[in-house]
Amino acid sequence: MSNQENPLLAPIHGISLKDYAAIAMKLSTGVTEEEIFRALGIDSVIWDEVNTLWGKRMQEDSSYELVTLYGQYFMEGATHPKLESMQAESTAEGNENLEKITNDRYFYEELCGARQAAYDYGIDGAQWIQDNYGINLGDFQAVAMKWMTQSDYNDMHQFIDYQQQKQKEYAEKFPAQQGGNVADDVSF
Amino acid sequence: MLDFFKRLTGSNIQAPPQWLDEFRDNHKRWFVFLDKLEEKMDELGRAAVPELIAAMREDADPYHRVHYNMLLGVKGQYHHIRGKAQQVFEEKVAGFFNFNVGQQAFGSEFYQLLQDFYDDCTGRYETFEEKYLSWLDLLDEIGAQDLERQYQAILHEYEEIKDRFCCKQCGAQLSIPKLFFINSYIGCPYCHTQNTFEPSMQAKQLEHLGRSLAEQRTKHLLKAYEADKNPASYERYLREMFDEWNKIVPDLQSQNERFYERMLEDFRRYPSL
Repeated sequence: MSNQENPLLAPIHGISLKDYAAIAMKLSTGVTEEEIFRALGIDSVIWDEVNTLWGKRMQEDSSYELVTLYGQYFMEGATHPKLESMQAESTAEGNENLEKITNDRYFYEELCGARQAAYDYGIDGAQWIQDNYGINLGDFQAVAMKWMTQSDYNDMHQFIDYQQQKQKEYAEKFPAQQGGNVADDVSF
Repeated sequence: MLDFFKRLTGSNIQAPPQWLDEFRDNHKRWFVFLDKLEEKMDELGRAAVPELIAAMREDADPYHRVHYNMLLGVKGQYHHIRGKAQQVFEEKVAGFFNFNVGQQAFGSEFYQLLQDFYDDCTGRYETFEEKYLSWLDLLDEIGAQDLERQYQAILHEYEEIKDRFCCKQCGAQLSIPKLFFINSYIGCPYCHTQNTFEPSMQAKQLEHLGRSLAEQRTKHLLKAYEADKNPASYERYLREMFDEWNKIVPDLQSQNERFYERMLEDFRRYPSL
């Protein structure tokens, strides 16, 4: 839908929804605000207003078009023409793991399960992935969007089951590494 | 506890089924098991609540990530406790009932025995669930109680600093005209420099806490709707919640009003959701 059809898609201070999603994606990978502001010719005042108002527009959009497009643009953020050259620091291992979750659906689902199990146990799941696999949150979310748009309804159940199985495995690993659960000594 | 074992009278008793010993055992152990799990929930809560309150108060991070991760961990333990109860219920209560009830004639004494066992154990399980939910509510309250304090701190900070901003170019004392929660331009009337005013990390939280605080202040109206399910009650809650939100973050009133219209339209279209 064009801006004329959906006025909520009109750019804010010259920053389109596509620009906004790409900025958010790059920031989540560790690229600095200063680099991004320089590339787009904006400053922190403009960015703060853009960041606030795009969020408010998504709230008022009952068609869900903005949220849907945002997800798609976030995934494509790595290739935004003005920002694609900007990369946060990464390790060789991190790059290898990033490529793996991009191409190996089962490995991606395993890390999703592990991340949830980490959160359930009080560990920052996103940080755990960064620390153990060198993949930052922004890159992980971009891959998540990719798998979401490629998901086939018929395959979905096997991946959900696989993720849940992995979540259960990690749900046992984390307590085992850190002293167990409070009710481990209670049995039927 | 319903003492249905006494209903097995001598003269009318059918040949006792093989599951009778397991039946008695499961019933007794189920109650003891839930008692122990509830003790664990209470111990955990008594230890965790003061630490969570302290973490909330002492965490300088405006996003309270230390508190948040701690809360996740504590909730995770409650979920684990509940998961244990759920697993045993499925196997030793529901599973046992479903396996054996089909073998009894409908309305027979042993059929009724099994039904009473199931009802009694389910009743006890519901009490356990209520305790589990009340602990989770209390844990959420800890974070919620802090919202009002945070908001007052933001207002107080603004009063302290509003006349202390100086022009970066000429040093003239400028007044911050209102409570900003994002970086904003403040022009100097003397040298016409465009200054960038950056709010504190605390003030930047105003937009994030606005809706949560508004929902907290109008929670009683939402509970009233949940009790009577009258659409007019929900619409009243929605209007008052947004009114509170607009008082807290007046700069976003026009955007929030459009969001209100959208939520109202969604509710009227799908009232059961």
